[in-house]
Amino acid sequence: MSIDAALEHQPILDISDLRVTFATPSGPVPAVRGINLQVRPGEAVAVVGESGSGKSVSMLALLGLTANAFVTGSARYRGTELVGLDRNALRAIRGSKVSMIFQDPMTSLNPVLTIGKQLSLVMRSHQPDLSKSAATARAVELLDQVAIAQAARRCTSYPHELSGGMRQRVMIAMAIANNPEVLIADEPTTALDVTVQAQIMDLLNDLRVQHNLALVLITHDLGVVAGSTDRVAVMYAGRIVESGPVDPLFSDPGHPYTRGLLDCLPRLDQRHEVQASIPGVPVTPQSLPPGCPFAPRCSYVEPACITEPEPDLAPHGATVAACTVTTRVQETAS
Amino acid sequence: MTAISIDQAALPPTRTARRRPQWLRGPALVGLIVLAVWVLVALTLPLWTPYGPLDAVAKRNLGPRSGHWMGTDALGRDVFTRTLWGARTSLPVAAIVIVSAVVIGTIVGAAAGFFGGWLDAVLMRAVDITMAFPPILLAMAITASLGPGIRNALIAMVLVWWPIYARLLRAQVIAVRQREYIESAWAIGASRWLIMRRYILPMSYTPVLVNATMDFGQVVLLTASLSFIGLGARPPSPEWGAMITEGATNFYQWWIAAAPGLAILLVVLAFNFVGDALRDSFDVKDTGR
Repeated sequence: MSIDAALEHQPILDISDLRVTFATPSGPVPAVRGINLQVRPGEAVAVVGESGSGKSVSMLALLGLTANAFVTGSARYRGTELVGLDRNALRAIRGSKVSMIFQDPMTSLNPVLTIGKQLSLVMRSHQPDLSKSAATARAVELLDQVAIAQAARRCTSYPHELSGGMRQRVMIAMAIANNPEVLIADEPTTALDVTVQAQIMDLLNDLRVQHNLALVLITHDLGVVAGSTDRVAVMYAGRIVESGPVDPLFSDPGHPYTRGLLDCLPRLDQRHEVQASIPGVPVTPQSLPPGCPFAPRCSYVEPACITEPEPDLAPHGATVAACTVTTRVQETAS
Repeated sequence: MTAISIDQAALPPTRTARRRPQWLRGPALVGLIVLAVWVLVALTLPLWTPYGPLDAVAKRNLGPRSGHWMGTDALGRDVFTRTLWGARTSLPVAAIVIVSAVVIGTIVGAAAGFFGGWLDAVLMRAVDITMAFPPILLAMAITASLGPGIRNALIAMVLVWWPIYARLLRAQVIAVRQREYIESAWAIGASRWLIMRRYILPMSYTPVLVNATMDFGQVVLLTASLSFIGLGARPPSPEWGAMITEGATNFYQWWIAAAPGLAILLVVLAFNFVGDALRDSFDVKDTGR
């Protein structure tokens, strides 16, 4: 679905100024510091960032899955405020309206239940009047839908009898079992073989088109993003530093961090002696510098970046980026 | 259709007939056979024994001989018959104590491990207090305050025994609770009850079951100990501990105490053999897959 068509829809998931702070013995740790993100039905949005940038935490937080976290701001699913929603109402939404799949399929399935049993338990916990036989029939149908051969026989398999790719398919089947409208995929291909990664991404995209799913793809792999999403939000140190449609963001990134990430992609048409990397280490939320959090690693850094408060998102071409230097350069150029 | 048959070949074989489990050999097998014989004897005893356990059937204090394999006691009752009857007290008592303690321990341990916080703190302090006393001493104190008798001894033993399982299960639940598949179950909207029952408990109860098997023997011993000091079964009931007390007063008629002593030895050893093998068999670092 093109972006223009998607824009006609109301966002199904509307996150605004979401903040997540963890209470730790050494004081509050701001893991997510005010992010805005809208996802519309049928749209695929990628949230990209290094480990610790807050991309997973922000999604877990809106589903109420973060322990010891103080969540503020707003995350609306079809107008229902998820932040601060009572536990049971949130549980009813989790898995049936907004579903999530995780990084490591090897450890994400219950090892003592057959996959058919797990699927039917998931369905019956959201649809209590679904009969056992109906749930089993639907489980077979779901496994079929995620392209698992011999679905009926596979229902009696235990997770350890399946390969990583098949387990991730089972996880996806569980996530879509209750016909959710939003699917959050937290690095769904990271733990898989490269050959299987593409299959899983294809499957997710097929399902997105078939069911008009809103897909939020959390990843650190820009290669995965390029082929399969409409929009990208780049996160650094708990904030979105750049967001926009995927093509302009790749061709003309507005934030030095995005440029750095793109430079890190290995390319076949150029010979590299050394794989490119962004120097330094990501700042930790415990020790944020006073200015722009990316300044210590930035090759465009100016004295103002360190002393001035971190910039807000400003237009840069077709994207918005939170960098004073690159947006100013662009303004003077035009 | 040939393509499908190749696919089928790749599938795991349908679960085949059950074979004897790995752990069931050597001492464990001996132990299990001994226990099976004891249970069979305890169940069928009234059908084939020639004497009643309370009947004076011969002269007093006869030594072992044909017709009275373990002799007779100070009241002329057949010691062998009484020893076998002892199993009809000890085995059910031990079973009730263990099952009740496991049930209570499971509920307390699961609640403490799953919910954590103040509930965990309160429950675990109760466990700590109970476990601070030597079991026999606490059981004695409770039985004495409730009044002697096998029923009160049983209640006392349950009260002494459950904290072991509560602590074991709590530790397991806390470890399993961190697993990723629990997190994905939350994310998919499973209820707490479902997660507890189908996701956490099946992965947590193994150490409790193994320990329960091992503890069977200890409870048999504790029952006999309480009866020995007059707090459990009262004379003239044929209970091993109470019989040993009677034997101790007739020191030169060694068979009166030796027979129930041997019975205790056999049962406790058998349970320990089985429990040991079970523990070795389950004591593998499982990878959570």
